[in-house]
Amino acid sequence: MIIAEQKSLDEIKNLLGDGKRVLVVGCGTCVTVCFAGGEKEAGILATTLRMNTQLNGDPKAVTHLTVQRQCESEYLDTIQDQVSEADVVLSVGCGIGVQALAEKYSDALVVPGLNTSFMGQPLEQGVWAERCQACGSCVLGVTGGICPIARCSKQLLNGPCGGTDDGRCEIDADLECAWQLIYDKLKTQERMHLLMDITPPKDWSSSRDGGPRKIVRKDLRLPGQEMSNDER
Amino acid sequence: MEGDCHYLDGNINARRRVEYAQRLLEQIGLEGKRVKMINLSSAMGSQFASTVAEFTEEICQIGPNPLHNGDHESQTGNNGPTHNLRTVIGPQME
Amino acid sequence: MTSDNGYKSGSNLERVLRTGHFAVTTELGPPKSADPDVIREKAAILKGFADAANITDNQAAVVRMSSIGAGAITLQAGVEPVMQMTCRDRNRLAMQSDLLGAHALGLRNVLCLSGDHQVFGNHPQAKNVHDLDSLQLVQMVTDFREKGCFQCGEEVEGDSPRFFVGAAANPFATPLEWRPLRLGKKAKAGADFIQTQLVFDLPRFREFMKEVVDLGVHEQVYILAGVGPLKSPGMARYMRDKVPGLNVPNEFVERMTAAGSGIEDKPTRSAAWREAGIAICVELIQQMREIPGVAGVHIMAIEWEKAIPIITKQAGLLPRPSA
Repeated sequence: MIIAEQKSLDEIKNLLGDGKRVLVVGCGTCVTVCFAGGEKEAGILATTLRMNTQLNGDPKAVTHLTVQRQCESEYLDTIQDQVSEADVVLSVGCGIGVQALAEKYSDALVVPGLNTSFMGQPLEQGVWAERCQACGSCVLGVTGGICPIARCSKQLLNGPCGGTDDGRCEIDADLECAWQLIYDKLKTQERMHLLMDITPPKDWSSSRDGGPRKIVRKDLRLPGQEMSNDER
Repeated sequence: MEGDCHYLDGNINARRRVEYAQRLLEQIGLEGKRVKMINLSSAMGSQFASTVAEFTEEICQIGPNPLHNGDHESQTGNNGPTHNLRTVIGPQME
Repeated sequence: MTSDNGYKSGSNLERVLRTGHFAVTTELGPPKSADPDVIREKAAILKGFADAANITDNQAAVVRMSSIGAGAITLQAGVEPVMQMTCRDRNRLAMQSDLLGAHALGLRNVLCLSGDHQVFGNHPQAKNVHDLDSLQLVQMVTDFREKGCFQCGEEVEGDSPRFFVGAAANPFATPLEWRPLRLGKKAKAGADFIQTQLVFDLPRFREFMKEVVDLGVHEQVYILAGVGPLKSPGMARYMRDKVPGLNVPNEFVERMTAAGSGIEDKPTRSAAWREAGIAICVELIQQMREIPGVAGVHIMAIEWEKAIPIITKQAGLLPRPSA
């Protein structure tokens, strides 16, 4: 899932600028589960802004609401009135939600309240770690289910490097060395031959390096929808 | 007494919530000291009284809540700033 | 595709190793400036005392003069360079482009490294590249020589660059039992020589080399053991406690401390420490020569190039075979 964190209050206030009427928009999916921008967080942020700006003598009128999924425009249909009544819309959805809102309501000023950080999973309450880099050509089948693109600091495909320290990454003792994990796993699975093969250079063109990506599924397209260039 | 809650670790969870509320208040620009948690049992009547008196004194020292207009009638229901904070932090911090 | 009497690159280092000599390489660290004289001075100190000198590539992720630029100046100054290239700062386009340029400038040895992560250096906010890893880089450089083509498969116009290709090994990084096998993997990728990280723990290094020899890897690559003089007991303790994979035995820490004990005058004490550090280094070199599979030493005296003439002399490594 997508993991994000709230920006600092100072940064958010800077982004709000002079706008007096602020609408905080939360999202009920990923950012709810990582406690960054769900209904509760949106409510607390709205209250915080209201109280803080009043204390500082420049009160803002801040309201909030939450949509189920901020990234899908159908869920944004219902909030048109509240958006039009606001000077600034402060989205506490992930970066995708912010952009979807901004695109849907192109006359509105939409600013982000979160820093969207990575795709990852919770390890324990309050701790999330990066697990996927969306490289577009998944190698998990040959690395024992551990991703070297997301979890190796140098994205090695023929790791580990010489910096592994007691199974930890040289850059941070709290980070497990991904290649130590891969080594241990492949050893348990008796698939060490995968380690001895030299993995050739990665085709990064399927990742973000190849440009912003788009997927078109012809099997899902509805009759009457415009054909994209790929389908012609 | 901490950990000896009738609700098992209820008072430990409550302490975490109170500390969060204190941090939020500081972030907002109010004093975190306006919220306090003390563990007492129902048999400690006189300690309760003295604790409350002491805390009242502390609050008087800190001074009135600058966001409280002092004019209760002008406060609109749920949009009153301080009322909303209590409501939001309360039952939703599970 | 070879010429020059069967040599792959014709470099001095290659000749020294192929003719069976115990090789000596060292390090020349480029400056944090654009001043070529710094390099010329260092080269003048090292000339005649090593078969080649590694030119580091933004070592420890700190920006310094490029290894290709410094390497070309070193070559002109009469010392053969080993150009280090990391995967941290360059993608495959820039790497190949630099390799063509390096060859055109007369450089013939390349050491392929992953590179220290930029969080360690002075530009931690930089984007890191890692388009290739060190294994893939070794393969790409040897493919220039063996296949005459770029990484994409296109043929190189005219003569393709032919380098003597090196890689690094750290015998003391975990997983320990994997390291000899990883060395084998580098040999399989086409590496001609290997330089190890600093070795102080000789018994542990002997075990590592035994495994390497058992695998037959020492016959596929020339292995140069890393060694270097300690400058002070503080440095010894720092390396022992803070640098992962650098096991410095306590006896060396104690020897360094003892060397300076009782000496009040700081310059004199410093000189005494350095003398002890050099003595330990020399002993290690002499013992390394006896270990099967060790084809030479890589002496690293960081910002202390002047130690190299002393060490090589005391260790009986002089004169070097002429180029």
